[in-house]
Amino acid sequence: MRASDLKPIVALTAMLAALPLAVRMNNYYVLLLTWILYYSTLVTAWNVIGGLAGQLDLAAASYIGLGAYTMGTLLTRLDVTPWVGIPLGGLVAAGFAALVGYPTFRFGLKEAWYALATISSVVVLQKLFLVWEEIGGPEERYLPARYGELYYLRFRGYAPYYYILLAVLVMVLLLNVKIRRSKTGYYLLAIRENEEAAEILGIDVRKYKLRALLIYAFVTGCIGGIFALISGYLHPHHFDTWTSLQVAILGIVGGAGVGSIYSLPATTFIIYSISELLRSTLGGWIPGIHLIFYGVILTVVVLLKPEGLSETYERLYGRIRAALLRRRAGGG
Amino acid sequence: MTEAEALLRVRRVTKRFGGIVALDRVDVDVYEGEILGMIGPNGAGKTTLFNVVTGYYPPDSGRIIFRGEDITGRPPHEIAKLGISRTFQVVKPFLGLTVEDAVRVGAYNRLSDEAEVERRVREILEFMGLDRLRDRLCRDLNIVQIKQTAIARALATDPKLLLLDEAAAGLNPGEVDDLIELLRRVNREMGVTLWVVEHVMRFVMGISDRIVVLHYGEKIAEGPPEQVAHDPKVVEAYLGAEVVI
Repeated sequence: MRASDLKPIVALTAMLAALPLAVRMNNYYVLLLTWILYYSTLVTAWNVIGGLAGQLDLAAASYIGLGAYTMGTLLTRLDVTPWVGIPLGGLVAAGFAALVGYPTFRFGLKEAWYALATISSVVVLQKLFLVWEEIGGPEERYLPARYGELYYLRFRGYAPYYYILLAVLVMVLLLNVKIRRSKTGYYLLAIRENEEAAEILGIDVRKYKLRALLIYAFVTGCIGGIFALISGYLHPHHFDTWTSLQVAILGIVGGAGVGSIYSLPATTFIIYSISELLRSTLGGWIPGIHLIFYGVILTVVVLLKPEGLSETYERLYGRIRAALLRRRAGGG
Repeated sequence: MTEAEALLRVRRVTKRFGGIVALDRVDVDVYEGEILGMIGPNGAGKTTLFNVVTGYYPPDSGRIIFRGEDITGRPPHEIAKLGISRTFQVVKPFLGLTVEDAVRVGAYNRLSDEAEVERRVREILEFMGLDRLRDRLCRDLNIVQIKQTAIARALATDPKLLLLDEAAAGLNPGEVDDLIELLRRVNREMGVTLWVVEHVMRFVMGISDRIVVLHYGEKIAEGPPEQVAHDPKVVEAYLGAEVVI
């Protein structure tokens, strides 16, 4: 990894680490920031399959739910610490991804068909956990309220989760940068651009798609475990198709796989904030307005900037930089 | 030349699509170091034969032997590893990648050390005269540059045999001459055996050591360019018209 790759990550981390202090640890704002980071990590992980490999994967909520149930069940039944439960949840999610992904890639399911296959996995798992009384069932299963103990990773406020997610986001960003600069990264891009051409250049398309899927599913499963700790309970509605769609929409709008990876957390930050603002102000008057907002944003971006917003940010950043340099030069 | 010397042997390959016989017991030998041309009217089965040889379609019957190894039915990525690469009639560019990155994808076929990959990419770009376009996205290239990039990324895989499917289509006469010149250098300096499918007669007659003619999925002629051009069966296949050189 090059020093120039690390600089923006360090800058971003410092900025994000200071944010809860900037809102004076106000519980509502910290919770809002926590959800923004939660979606940022999900979208950044999605970049591996959706951005680099170009597969419209809508199974995020399957991996989140499996990660949540694995971590939560081990914690409530066997008193296994989330430190172990979270990565195990990642493995279960990756196992499930292999189960769905292998035949899907084997029979060449692509584009809309791949999207349908993956989002239906969310619905199937939700129903399955609803009727599977031993592990799931229609009642919420609460996690132990052992607050403030590192072994249980349960906290009364949201700030600790915010910082845990920040650490995860940094890891996922590093993972993306590393993959992007490796043989695997170039191979995934080639597959995204043209599978047939990629094959005759020596790329085992199925193997590399599966690799991308497993990495993505593992990370998303781990994030699912953290999600359960934040929400404090397990329920089949954690297999939520809306989460899947939101991750993909944020990824598409943010321009996953095009330009800078930092476009994804930035887009999540902007869109989630606006949608939350709409919900909290107009939500009582027009319920669901934040959902309409997602639809409108997606439509507008796909029509006007089909490659996503990453280039727009870069141009904006360049302009701001130039203006600042000019001002400094003029003032000096 | 004896059969044992052939780099690639296509033996009695048949391929059907529903009721249509696209290839009917076709035999072709490609000898190491040569430039083999393949012509034939539209629908003669030229691209189908390329697709069968490079593993995109399995043949219904017949064998394909490369360097003494039976490669019939092997997938394209394994065939690439063994040393066959190709370009496509309908170009399949990596529009979102830079020229350099497209070539790099090919270079990973044999190399894993990053420094070696880097060196290979630089060599190929220089050889192809693409170095000044290296940072350009393939999306922003013209058709000649896109076709050059397709050849460049195939060469980066370090093939023994390169199949070119209508590389000269859409080029003006000057560009065709440049392409002939370039491919001769690929053949001589890089030691790559070439098998080219072409409609542009100026190209195929100018570059080929030998020519194979397909018609309705059958091989109807084979030999040096001037002999094939005057072969009565070939002339008839091209609707009675004399093949124009």
